[in-house]
Amino acid sequence: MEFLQAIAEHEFLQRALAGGLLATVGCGVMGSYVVVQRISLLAGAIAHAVLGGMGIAWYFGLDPLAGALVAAVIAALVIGWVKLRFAEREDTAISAIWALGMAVGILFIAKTPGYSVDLMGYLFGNLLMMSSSDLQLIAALDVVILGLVALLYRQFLAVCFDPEFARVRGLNVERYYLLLLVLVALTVVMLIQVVGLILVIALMTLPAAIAGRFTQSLAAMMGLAVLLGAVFTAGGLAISYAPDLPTGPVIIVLAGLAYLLAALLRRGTR
Amino acid sequence: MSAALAFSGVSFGFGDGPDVVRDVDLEIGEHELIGLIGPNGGGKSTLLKLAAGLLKPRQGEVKVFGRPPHEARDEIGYVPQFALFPRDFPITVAQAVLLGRLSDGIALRWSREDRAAAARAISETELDELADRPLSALSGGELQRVLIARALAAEPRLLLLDEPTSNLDQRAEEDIFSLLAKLGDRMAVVLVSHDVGFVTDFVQRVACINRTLVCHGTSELTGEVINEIYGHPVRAVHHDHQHDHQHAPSRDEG
Repeated sequence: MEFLQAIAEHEFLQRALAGGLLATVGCGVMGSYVVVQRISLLAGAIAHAVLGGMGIAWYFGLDPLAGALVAAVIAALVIGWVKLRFAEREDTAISAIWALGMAVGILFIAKTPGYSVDLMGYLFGNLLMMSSSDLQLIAALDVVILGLVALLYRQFLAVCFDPEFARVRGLNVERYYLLLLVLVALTVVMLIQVVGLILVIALMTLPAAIAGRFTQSLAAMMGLAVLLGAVFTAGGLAISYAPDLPTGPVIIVLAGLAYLLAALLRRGTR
Repeated sequence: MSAALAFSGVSFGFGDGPDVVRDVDLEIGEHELIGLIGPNGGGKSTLLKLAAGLLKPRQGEVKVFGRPPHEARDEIGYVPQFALFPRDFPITVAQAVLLGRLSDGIALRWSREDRAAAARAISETELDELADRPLSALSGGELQRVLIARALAAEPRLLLLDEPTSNLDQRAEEDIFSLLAKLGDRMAVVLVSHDVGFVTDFVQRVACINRTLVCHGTSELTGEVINEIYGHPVRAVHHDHQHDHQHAPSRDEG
């Protein structure tokens, strides 16, 4: 295959594949939490608010991904706080943060002197532009996410499964909830380079949602979600290469088709 | 010897709202099986949540074995309303029951005692054959037994149950009640129910809650009392059960 040949020759393709696969690890794990907790709207708001941080960082000549990291964590904490304190206004607050982050980002990008930023790359991803420092950032975020999830797996499970019971058992449910949202925020940042911030929610939720239909435990769901995410990412990269299509959207279309297929298959058996 | 659960002068309301329960005094003995009954919105579930330490009273004191509920956590088994429980979570019966052993500390694996206690809870609730099934494959009665097993895994001395038999068919309902009657031999069991007639046949004592404690005692509920708590006559059907483990008079506190 043309793609296999190309990947052996070109270092940028190897980096793209490595980055995409590394990102799907954290993505499958945190995506499973997003799906069982039904907070994909929340994850979407965090992802879009990130543009604010990227725009500001770009304006001041800093690394946009650093800006994204800070903005993602702040957005996660604000959204979490709103959800815990004012559950009845959650919906409006989440939409406000979603739109506000994007508006701020666009304003700063518009006013940045010099050549214009590759806005499309932020919004829809640019896997082929993966640098080795991007790779390092993604690997570091994976370590943080996997480490905390391994240590706190049972606590997170209890809090997602039945927060009221977890509270009776003495767990600080709010603290774990906010920590989970922060980890979701870190995952969003990892995925920006892969599929862009608009498509992040799809790559987080579709593999996990498919996995959830075929597994009976959260850990198994995570494992299968990682595997599926890897297939979609590598597949998307391979398919998009020869006809020179944008990689992010191809990955998402693959994931979406698989989701529809799984829904149809599962329907027959239940 | 201190009571398993004691409310003294307890009032509670949400935010700045009016009292949901007001001035409740109630003591529950160590091996007592008691039903909290009353109309919807009368504050039964609120009392249960106060006992579990999920809510803090506005006034008065809640004590579990002489201590505030949050200090007596290890003595409390809490069984939420299963009818409202989301069932599509990817978790098996055995895993869900193990979560009853959880405490707020970091450990990578369940200890041998944790597994043993969960296994005992599973066999006591007759879930052995279902242990590896996902929750989504269970019937209502089976799910209810899982939630009871999860509470029992912590080896509590006070079991609190919110509407344990609502939405169950009569057979499943009887199974749950006979399980609770058995558990009542070694722990205090408090269950909230709106089904007056049925509950009174099984428990040793009822406490009727409509914002405050309207009555409690071992005597049969009369129509008059029921009218008083519900504000209107209700169907007080006493189902005819062939169970031999109904009131055990020797344990009545009278």
